[in-house]
Amino acid sequence: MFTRLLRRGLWQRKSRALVALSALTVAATLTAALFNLHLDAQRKIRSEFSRYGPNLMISPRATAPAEVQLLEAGLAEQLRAEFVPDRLTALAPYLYAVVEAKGESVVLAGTWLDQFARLGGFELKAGSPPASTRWRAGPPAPPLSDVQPAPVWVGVGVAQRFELKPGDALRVRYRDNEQTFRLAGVLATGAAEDNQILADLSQVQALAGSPGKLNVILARAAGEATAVEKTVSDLAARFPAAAVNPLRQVTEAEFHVVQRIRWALLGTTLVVLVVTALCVLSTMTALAFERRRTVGTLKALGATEARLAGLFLGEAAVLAVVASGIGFFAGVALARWLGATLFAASITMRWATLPLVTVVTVAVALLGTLLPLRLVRRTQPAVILRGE
Amino acid sequence: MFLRILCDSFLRRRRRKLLTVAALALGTAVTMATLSVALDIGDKVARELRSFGANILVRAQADTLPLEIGGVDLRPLSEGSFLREEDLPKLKTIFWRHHILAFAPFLYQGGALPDSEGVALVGAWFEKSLLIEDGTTFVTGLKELRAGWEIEGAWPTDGSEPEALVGSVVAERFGWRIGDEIPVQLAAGPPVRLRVRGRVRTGGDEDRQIFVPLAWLQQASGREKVFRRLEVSALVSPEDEFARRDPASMTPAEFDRWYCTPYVSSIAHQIQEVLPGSQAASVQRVAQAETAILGRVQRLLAVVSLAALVAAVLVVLSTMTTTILERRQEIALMKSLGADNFSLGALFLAEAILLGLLGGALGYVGGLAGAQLIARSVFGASVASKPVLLPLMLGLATAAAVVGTLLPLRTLQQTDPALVLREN
Repeated sequence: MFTRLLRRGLWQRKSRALVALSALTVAATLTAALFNLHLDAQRKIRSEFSRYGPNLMISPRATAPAEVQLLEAGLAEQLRAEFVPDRLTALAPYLYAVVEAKGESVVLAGTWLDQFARLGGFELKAGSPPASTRWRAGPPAPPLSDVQPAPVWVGVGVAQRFELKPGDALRVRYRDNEQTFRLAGVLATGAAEDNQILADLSQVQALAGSPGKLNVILARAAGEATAVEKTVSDLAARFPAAAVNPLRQVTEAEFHVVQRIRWALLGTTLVVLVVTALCVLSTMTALAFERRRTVGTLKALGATEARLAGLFLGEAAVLAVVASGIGFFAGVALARWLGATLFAASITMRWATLPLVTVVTVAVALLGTLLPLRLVRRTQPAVILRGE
Repeated sequence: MFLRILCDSFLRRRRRKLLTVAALALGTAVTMATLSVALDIGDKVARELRSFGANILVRAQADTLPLEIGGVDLRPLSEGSFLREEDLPKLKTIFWRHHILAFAPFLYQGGALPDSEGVALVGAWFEKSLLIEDGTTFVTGLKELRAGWEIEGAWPTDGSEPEALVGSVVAERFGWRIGDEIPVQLAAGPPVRLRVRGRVRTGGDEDRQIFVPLAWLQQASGREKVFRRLEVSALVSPEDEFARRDPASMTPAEFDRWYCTPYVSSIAHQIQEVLPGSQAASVQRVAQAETAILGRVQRLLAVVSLAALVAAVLVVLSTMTTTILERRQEIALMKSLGADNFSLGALFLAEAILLGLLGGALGYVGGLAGAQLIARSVFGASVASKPVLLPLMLGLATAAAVVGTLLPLRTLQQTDPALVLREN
């Protein structure tokens, strides 16, 4: 009896039910789209923060005097083996030496060039981008001599001052050691690297006479603030000889920005839901108003308030479930389209959001029906049936 | 006659009209609030991103190569060229002066600590008050430039007193506490004693440095009124293809457009113009990240505001439709009394426009208030009122009201009035 009343109630007022259904479908679509987009878009935005480069710094413990304040290069190798690429997305060890080139002092920085490239933050002005240090491993391995000089990259400042272009030879001297490099490219970072020469770590270690030594390791830890903290504490526990510090400026600003975006998205989703609830409210009120006669008849036939309320709420729920089903798929499609066109991100369909969308839509529909129920309760069967 | 019916419709059905206006106002307010917040959040995020530090670096032109390791220029003060401190207030006179949020000059001097270990003394402004040409004052320095720094104790004052802000690593090694006097041997100069005012922990190179007032370091090392390097934090718009072009290859019109857009490159160019002998470069890492993040955030917010817009239009449409459907008796009566479709349409159109304008205006005010409320509670800042949105909101509300009226009206006009009237 209940289901028959429900079915007929909806069927006889097709156009009305359709308006309510479309309102709910739009709500469900928007909710599903926002839920699906939300997670991926946030991840995508967070991944953009990796462009800021390193977010943690590993340096020697400060207890020792200056002369021995160097890290063992073995540490970087170990780190790379154990933490890259899962916990650390990039890891660049550095050894600096102030060398003489063309009669002037200049900073020579030794690093793993492939990892330097991964950390990014430079613009290639000329030549080829910094490539993997494993250029030595590839056949045929060029010998490390002045005949086949190793490649270096220089900052724009150095290139300008020494008037260098890719392919040029660059002879540098550190105390009594001399070495000729071949210029492979010119980089602009806007930071210290603009005035440095960048070479492979092993070259600088050999030149500076400190094999197996490092000044500092810069790394990019994956994940958000808590994951970074976890990585920092894990690293500190694993390598007690080094001081591991998060670069707070980077981690904190990231946290704030992601937090703001989260609030903005959540707020708008809520606003959309409230507005749709109002839409459902007005439609359901009209429905209840139009069916005064039916309500009156049912009341006269002995239907209780609870029964009538159940009828209306049931109607709303049926509409909401149908709407959430349609809306979920429409929302996923919308999210995919938006993700592809706006974020260049593929949005994965999350089935987990389906129950979420359903619950939200049903809740909105039921909330929108509560007010019209008062109208139903106040209906006097005698007055209505008399035709006023 | 037309006016009388219109007036009567508003006066007799006051409650009904009030409800419609309320719905329209609500829809408009929601759109308005979301749009205001969305338009503003990009700006807020941009400011938040500025806490990453400077995005423009200025050095002296025609210089020997800076020996920068760990954020410090290791050249002895006898080498290389310098920039003049007295030129700095000019930064706030450039075209995009309001986009210059903070800046600080730096001078570096090597020193030796008690265990004869080398340390870098960094001379900088902390919270310097500058008198600008137009008579206003601008307060800037490390405190603004490194907004993310957490300081234990206090910032040193910008006078010529030997005060210091010490990095946590050096401070820990020597057990320095706030208020201690620490002996430092300057690389070129006499031994000095510095009073520790505060400690800083950043996790980076700064933890091993000692920050002192620029004026004091200039005096102590005999380099009056000059500095090595300037860091500027400027609010910039995301870079696009146009921004990356070489200004030298632009036509005059293009150059004007580039000059009058707050790109990081154009602001750097303007800084170079006012600081003689300087060379300004944008920090690639910061510029690239900011461009990418702001771009994504703005697009995400556009989507979100669009969603709110759709929902708001929907609520207006459904309310209007309901109202018209309720009035089908009236319409049928008018029709049977000889009203043609045109005059009926005109009547309801006029009503819809009036309602739309009224609801739109109310919604604009309400939405602005709502946006302020959201901005205050979520972002702790107010949003600027954007008058541009007023005509947009009025137009939106009116359009929604008109569409919501005309669509159901057309169906009603096609039905036979006799059938509708018999329903009663």
